[in-house]
Amino acid sequence: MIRLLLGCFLTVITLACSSGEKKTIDTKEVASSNIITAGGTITEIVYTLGFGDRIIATDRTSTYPVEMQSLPSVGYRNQIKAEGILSLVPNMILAEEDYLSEDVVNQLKLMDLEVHFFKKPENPEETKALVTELATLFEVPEIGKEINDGIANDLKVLDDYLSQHAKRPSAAFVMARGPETLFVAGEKTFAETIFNLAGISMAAQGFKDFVPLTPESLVTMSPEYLVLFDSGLESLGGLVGLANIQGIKESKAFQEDQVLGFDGHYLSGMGPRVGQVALELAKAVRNK
Amino acid sequence: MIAPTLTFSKQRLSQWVLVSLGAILVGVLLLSLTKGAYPISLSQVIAALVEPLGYHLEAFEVMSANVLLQIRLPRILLAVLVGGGLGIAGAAMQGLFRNPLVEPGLIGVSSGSALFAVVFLVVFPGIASSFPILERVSLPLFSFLGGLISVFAVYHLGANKESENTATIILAGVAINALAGALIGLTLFYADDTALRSFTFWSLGDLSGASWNKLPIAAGLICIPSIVLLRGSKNLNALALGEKEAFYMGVNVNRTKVILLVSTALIVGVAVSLTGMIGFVGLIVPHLMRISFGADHRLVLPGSFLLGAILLNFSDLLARTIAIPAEMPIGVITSLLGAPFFMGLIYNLKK
Amino acid sequence: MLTASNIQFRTRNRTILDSTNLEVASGQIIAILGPNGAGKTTLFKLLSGESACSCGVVSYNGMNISKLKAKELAEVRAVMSQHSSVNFPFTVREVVELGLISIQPANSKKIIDEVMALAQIEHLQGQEYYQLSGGEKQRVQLSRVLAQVWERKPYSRYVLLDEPTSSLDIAQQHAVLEILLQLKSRNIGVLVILHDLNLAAQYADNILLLKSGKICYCGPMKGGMDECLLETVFDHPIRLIHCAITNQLIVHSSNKSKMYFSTRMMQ
Repeated sequence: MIRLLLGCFLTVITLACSSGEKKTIDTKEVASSNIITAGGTITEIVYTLGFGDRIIATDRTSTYPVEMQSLPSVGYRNQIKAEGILSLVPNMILAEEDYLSEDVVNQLKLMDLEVHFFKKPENPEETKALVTELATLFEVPEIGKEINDGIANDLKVLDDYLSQHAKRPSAAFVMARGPETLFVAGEKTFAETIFNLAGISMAAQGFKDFVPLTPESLVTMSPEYLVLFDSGLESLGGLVGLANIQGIKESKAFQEDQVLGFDGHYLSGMGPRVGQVALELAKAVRNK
Repeated sequence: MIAPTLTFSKQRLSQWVLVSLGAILVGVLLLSLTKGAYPISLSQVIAALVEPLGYHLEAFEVMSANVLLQIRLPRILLAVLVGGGLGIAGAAMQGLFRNPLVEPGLIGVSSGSALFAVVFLVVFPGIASSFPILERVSLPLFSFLGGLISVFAVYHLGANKESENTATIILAGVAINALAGALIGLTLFYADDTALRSFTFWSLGDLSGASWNKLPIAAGLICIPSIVLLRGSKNLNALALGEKEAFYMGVNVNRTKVILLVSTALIVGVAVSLTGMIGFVGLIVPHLMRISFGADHRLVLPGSFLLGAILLNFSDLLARTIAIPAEMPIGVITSLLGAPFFMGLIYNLKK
Repeated sequence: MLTASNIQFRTRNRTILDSTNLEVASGQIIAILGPNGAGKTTLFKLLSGESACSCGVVSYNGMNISKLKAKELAEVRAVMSQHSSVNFPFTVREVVELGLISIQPANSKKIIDEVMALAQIEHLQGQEYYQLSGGEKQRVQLSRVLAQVWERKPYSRYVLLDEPTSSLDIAQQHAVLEILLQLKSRNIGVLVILHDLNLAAQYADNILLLKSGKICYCGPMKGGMDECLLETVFDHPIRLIHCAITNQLIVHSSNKSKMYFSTRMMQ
């Protein structure tokens, strides 16, 4: 009898697979959409374009502006599930590419919603392209141009500053998620990009992406400055906690009290404020 | 324990048990359809289900229908397949190893499957995007290969023709779990591809990736070996007395062993490749069947399929409603249920 | 007829069983005895089909055992091992029913009821096997073995038993052997390994005495009841005493030195 059940089951599934059509509804105006964003940069740009109040929920990396974090949260990266997003009844979803898991992407595409994916910008040029793209989507190209002009201006100010200060200090970026989980950023990371912008040379050479921090490696690299996310510093217990990490306390940067903390999204988001953060960083390493 | 004294009523009892379990399963499925992050009422469920057949009900609502049919229903069906598969595979393994403490997770078959699945995704990343159909078949089959190697390894390391050797089997499983776990971690550490999914996915399981295009192959590769196992129930009964005795009673022991090992490895391999490792289902469910209705595999095996489907669906229901809009990994739920159960079993064995 | 022609079993270092010929006819009981290590278990395994013989032939009713599939073999012979363990909570009745796995009898309920009555375990049928005593478990196993060949058939069947009385008390030992006697009338031949010479003498028709892999005697029980023969086989003084009451020979053995002393005294 169980065989009969299994047989029925197989039949039902086969039949059901053919009923995978979705229903269509009228498309709504973009301007009155309920939007869910996934990815801090996108959230920031949407807000800067003036549509921040259309966002009904967002993810954990969307920390700018601060009010975004008081909205319902859909989670982080591949912990985000499709039904969770849908339960908040959006009609538009804007997400970073490669941020949500593939299955969730497929499931969202099956729903009758506007779902858009955007490549995360890896340098200011791409930032401007993303701003333009989003501005077009929201049908406000002129605001987009304004933002891009602002970015260009920030970069020019940065350039001017750097041309007056020839010194090129070295630094290393440390990603920390608690004392047991520490990584150093190598080439092809946002750290390299932002350091280059700020006229800082990478103390970490010869490897790509993030590599676990070993006690000796940092001392060998001997950066003049250590840069961390504020959240990373906090997870280590602040500067006091930092002193307990093997490898960091022996480094020149720590001993000369040259440890810098920045808001995670601000530093790595490559959003509209990229020029501003680069300038801040450039000044911070040239203050002494 | 219900101990029927007449063969006649034992058959009737078996049928009643299976029908009841089937009814409970249907009940749990309906319940699961109405629960989840996205609120869908029972009338909306029914409306959504009959709409494709041409009946339009007032309660029909587009978004809830989409969520139900595209996200929730495939997920529930996947839970039936994986839960049922793990249940029946666990029951068959216990019969094969003549040991009630055996289950795919404990003896390393799940982790062996997961390892091969991860390795497949690393070595052949292109296949996933270029040939989706090929990936849908080759990933589960490669995973099956990993499960097969593990189960044969455990069998040869641990199982013994004459005497019971619980310790060796479990130890062999521990060794394989450790090795496979380390290799999975290593592979995920160095490979940087979102298609690999996370360590949490593999080690704690996740049903949220269910979709209609994954189901048919999964259904085929789980139901067919399940039917094979069902047909081997009689032989499993004989094997319970020992391989030698089974031979004396006319069972072709080697052929039966191979068929059982291959079928269970296939079920586990396919399940793991789709949902990661979900532990303890294969341990709890056959036990519940045995202590309630006796050790006859002709009832334990089909009952374990149904009960496993019920258990996993119920666990998934908890997993996706406890922390809305986030989800708890399902392995956490099954472990919270299963580990104390396991400890209880060990305690009982001592007596 | 169960026949073994020229079967032997050698390992690299030694010969465990030397070339052996044997016949078991239906309706007869043959007892196999010998000291430990004589090769009884090896012979048993070759006859039951558990081990394969490199040379020589074992055949059941004219069919070479190596050509028979497990299921076909199960239809002609049933085997009771010395030890059996059951790891799952089967009931007694379920264990006995296992005997019918390869057999499709006309009326399985009748067979099960009959063999359980014969082994006197009907009152236990609903209980779980693991709760029984050692003796009860052995009777359940016997019952299962009987069920396999119980249905009457036009061709001979055979039951091979390895020390079926090891855990049983005196009454139960005789009960089991009485059961074996009943098999004779059902076209079944019985081969049983025993340790107790007296039991063998009372119930078996033929006897096979093994020592160090060689047959010392194979033939009717009467011929096997010879003091010299038995002493050679068992390496221990043995006296055969005639009991006038039962008109049977009783095998007596006691402390070596005493026997020698009394023998010397008598010479």
